Amino acid sequence: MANRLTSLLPGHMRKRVDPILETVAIMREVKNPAAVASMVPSMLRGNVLQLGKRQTSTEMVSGHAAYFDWEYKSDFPEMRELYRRAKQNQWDADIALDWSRDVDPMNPERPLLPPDFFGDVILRQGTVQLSALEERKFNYHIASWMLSNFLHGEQGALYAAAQVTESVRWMDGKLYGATQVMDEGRHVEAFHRYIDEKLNRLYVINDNLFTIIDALMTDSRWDMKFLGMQIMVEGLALGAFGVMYRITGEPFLKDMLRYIIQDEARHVHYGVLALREHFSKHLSDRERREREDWAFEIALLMRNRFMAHEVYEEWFEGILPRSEWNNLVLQSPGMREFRSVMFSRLIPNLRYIGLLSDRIAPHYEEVGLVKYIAGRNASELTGDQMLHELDHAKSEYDDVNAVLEQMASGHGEDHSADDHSAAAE
Amino acid sequence: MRFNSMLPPSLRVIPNATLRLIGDLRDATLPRREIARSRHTDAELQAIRDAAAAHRADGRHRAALILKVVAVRRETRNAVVLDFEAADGAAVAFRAGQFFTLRADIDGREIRRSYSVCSDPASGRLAVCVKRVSGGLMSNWLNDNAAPGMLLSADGPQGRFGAELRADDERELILIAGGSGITPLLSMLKTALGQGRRDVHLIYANRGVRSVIFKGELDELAARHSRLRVTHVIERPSKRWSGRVGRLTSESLRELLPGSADRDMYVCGPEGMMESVRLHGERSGWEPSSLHFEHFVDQSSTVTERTPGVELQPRRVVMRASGRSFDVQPGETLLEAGLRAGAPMQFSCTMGGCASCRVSVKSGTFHMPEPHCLTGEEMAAGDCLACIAQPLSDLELNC
Repeated sequence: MANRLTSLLPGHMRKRVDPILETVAIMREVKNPAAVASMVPSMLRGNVLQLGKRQTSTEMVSGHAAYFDWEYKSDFPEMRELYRRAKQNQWDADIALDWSRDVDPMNPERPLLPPDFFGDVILRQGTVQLSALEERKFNYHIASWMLSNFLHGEQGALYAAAQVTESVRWMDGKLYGATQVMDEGRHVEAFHRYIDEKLNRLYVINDNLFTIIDALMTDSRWDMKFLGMQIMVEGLALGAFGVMYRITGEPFLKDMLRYIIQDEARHVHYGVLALREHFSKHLSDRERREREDWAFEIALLMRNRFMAHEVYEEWFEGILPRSEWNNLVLQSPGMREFRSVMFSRLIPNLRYIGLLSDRIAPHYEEVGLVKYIAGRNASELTGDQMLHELDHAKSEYDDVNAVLEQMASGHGEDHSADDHSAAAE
Repeated sequence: MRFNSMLPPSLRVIPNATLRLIGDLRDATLPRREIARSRHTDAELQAIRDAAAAHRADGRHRAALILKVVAVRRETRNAVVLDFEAADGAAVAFRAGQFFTLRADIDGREIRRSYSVCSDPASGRLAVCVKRVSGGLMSNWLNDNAAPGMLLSADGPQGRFGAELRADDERELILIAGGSGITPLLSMLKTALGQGRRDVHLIYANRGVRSVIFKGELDELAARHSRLRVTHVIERPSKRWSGRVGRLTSESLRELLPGSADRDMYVCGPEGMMESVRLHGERSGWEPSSLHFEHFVDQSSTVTERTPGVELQPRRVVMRASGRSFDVQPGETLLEAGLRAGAPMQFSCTMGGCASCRVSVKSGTFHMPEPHCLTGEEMAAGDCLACIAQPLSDLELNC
């Protein structure tokens, strides 16, 4: 109904109204409004006012306390070990990566994303039909959009890691946190250099990503920053980098992601270690429930809300209704695999830190996410293992392609966006 | 703001939040920025690419490359020349005199060996020459198995040998090679003939005529370039050999290199030959800074041969920081034993030439064959190159 109404509006007004309606739709999906109440100001800034798309720089104010420990106790051996490992595994993007290698983002022999990332049937036989050249350009733009948002996410991770380093209570955690700050700085450097020198195309930040980063940066509770950044956003990053690592045909990008994934595995591990201890020993039941609900709502937001609207506006605004685009993105094999890998990492971590009680598990089951619970959590997984798994994983992307081929030949079955039955592992 | 500062800190939250909201609402009236921006023109991108290539040629970059063998040419009975290109099709930049470390899985172990490039950087070709070494894992494997299409990981380019070579230097360039030590010198020779005006004199020592690598190519170059003079010195020639006979000694060098010592001399070959050159240099008044040596290491020693003086019993190695320990069997290097035990040890050239595998020894003694790249200070501080060191007692490492 709303779609039909907005389609009557002139283009420039629709551009303003659509994001607001989508924000309302997000809020209506929320099962526990109290759990996301703290995010409302961020949603206003990110989704409604779209400040990330207007400002060239943004200030996010945080009320967290820097926690000093004058006794310098070595108080968390596993974190100390992680710190030691992090120090040893530092790398220099200037030296580790061969920046003299040429990257042609439109080279069909080394595509940034597989040509049917968005589904053979959808882009070639649906409402929208692109020529071979347009397809290659579209592929380039989608990849640039993803990598640009990786970069924006890494900038968020850099500052959040710095805040977490200030506010965490364990001295060993602070020392480790310092290495993560360095890691994130290096990721910003590497992603930016790749986007700037190799792709020469930087997209503005996605509104939903802005909202999540804003919510984390401005929340004054250190464990919420931790949960949001180390578990949710880093989990999202691992999923996204992992998929891209596996499917990209561009060797330089693959090399770069290999280095970055090794760092990211440490980051999530850090969050898992810290929060398991904190949630199990230092929180009341009510506080733990609040975090459990909050994590669920964020998981849902992350599952359905990264729609590449920026690319839509460039390519299809006025040609294709926004709702149809959303559908296309949700059903695309690439994005399905992205969600699959992301949740196969995230859900076991939430279980491990105690945010997947019997109370909330049915909700995850309802949205088709509970099947990931049996996976390994970050404390059981090193960066090397993760890369090995990615290198050898059977890809949902392959499965979905097979289904799409069947559909194209008229023998297929319909796969809804929520069907994750072909898991990555 | 002034009003704000008059409030106690606990009450500043509300006006601060209000001010921020006003700022946000004001910014919401700003036009949206361009959705995607491209910062560079094509010319700027080209300049960035050139700078990256120069950086790489500088030898500062050390990432693994994937090289594809595109041609294999048998140069002598015991040596092949392998032509490579990067598997991703990118140009591989290097400087004459540099080497690449090739990696291969042989019998379930990752073996790394360094090979100097023998092609001219300006030619766009990347070629190395691999001569069989008695007991050498990589050299024999490559001689027997290398074929077009084979993929090998490689690190490089590495090495500073030849870095001082200048295109505008007009003094005669002296190159002295022994055996397969010709490879980096051939690359430098071609560069010098291609870009400068200087005369080049190559003195090339070999055991027999049939073992002379690149003989045909050198003859052809000498016929084409009057600036190039090649003097072969053969230790055990056939009866038909009319050239110079014997080993390269400081005496024979005095005959071969009369005249001014004000020239640059680049030397690569077995240690004995390089010592003769060093001696000649000293006696004839060459500036030490004009003499450039590339060490030519017998790669068979890292495999099975026992180093004289090393006892025939296993030694225990303890890594202090990680608490890990492993045994080094007689004849094994520290690195070989560590890798066999799964210890996280860094390495690259495995020839004592790059210091990637340097470890600090807290206690215990070890044997480290010369030559290698550690300075006297580093050795005095207890540093050790795991790739060539063999323990003489149990060892405790600071890692």
